[in-house]
Amino acid sequence: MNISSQSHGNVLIVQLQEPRLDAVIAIQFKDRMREITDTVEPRVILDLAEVGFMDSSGLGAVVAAMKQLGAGRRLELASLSPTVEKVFQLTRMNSVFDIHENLTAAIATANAD
Amino acid sequence: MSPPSPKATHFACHPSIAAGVVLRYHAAANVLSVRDTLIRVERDLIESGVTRDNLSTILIVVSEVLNNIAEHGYQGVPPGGFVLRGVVRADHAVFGFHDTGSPLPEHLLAEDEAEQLPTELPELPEGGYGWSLIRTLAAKIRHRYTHRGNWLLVRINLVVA
Repeated sequence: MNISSQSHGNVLIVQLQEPRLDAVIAIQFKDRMREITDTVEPRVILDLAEVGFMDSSGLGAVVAAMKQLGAGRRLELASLSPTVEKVFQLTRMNSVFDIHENLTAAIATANAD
Repeated sequence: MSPPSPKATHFACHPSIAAGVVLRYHAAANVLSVRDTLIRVERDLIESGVTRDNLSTILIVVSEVLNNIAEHGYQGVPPGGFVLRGVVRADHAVFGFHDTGSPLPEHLLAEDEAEQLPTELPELPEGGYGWSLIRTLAAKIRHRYTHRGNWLLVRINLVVA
C-alpha cells in the first residue's frame, strides 16, 4: 500500500496513493494511519485524490483512523471522488468529517484558523 | 454452482445500454477476487455507456454484497465461490448473486425503521455500513436459501440521462 505524509506546521498531510480503499487494504490502511499519525499536529488531512473507489471496509478504516487520533485532534478529508463522496453522503459520514474540495482548500482552511 | 475456480471467469455482452447489458462473473469468494470482479464490472459497464453516477451506484451495491459473501458467507463452512449475474438497462439494473455458503441472515435484508447509524464520534462503529448502503441504494431485494445455497436478487433504479 502506498501512503505518504508530510508536516505543514500544525497540519499533517497524509496522501493515500491507491486507486481503491477497500476490504483488501482496509486493515493495513488503519495500521499505517496509526503509525503515521503518531505525531503532534492537531490536524490531520487525508488527501484521497487518487482514491476512485471506497467500500464500507474502507469507510470503517477511515472512521477508525479518526477515532485513534484521540481527543483534541481531528481527521479531515480532501479531494473525494464522486463515488467516495456518495458513500460518505449515504452513510451520513459527511456530517462527521470536515470534507474539503481539494488539498489546497484544506490547507488554506487550516491556516486560516 | 460448479466448484469455485481460483481464477475469476467472466462474460460480458455489451452491445449498448439501450439493448440491455448482460454480465456474468464467477470467482472464488475472497476479497481479492471481489476487487478483480469489480474492476471487470466497471470496465464492462463503461464500455457499455453507463453513466458515471449510475456506475458508482452499481459498484457500491455489488461490492458490498460480494464482500459480505467473501468475508462472512463461508465462515465455518468449506470455502467456495460466487456467481454474479447482471442485466443493466437504461433505467434499472438487476443483479443476481449466488453462493454456497451459510444462509444469509434475513434480518440484514429488512430496513429497520429505528436503525440510525450514530454520527457522534465516540459511538461511531468501525464497520457495519455495508448492508445500510445496499438497502439505501436498492429498489428491491429478494433472497431465498435452498440446499444449493443463497440466491440474492437486487434491483437498482438508475438515473436516466
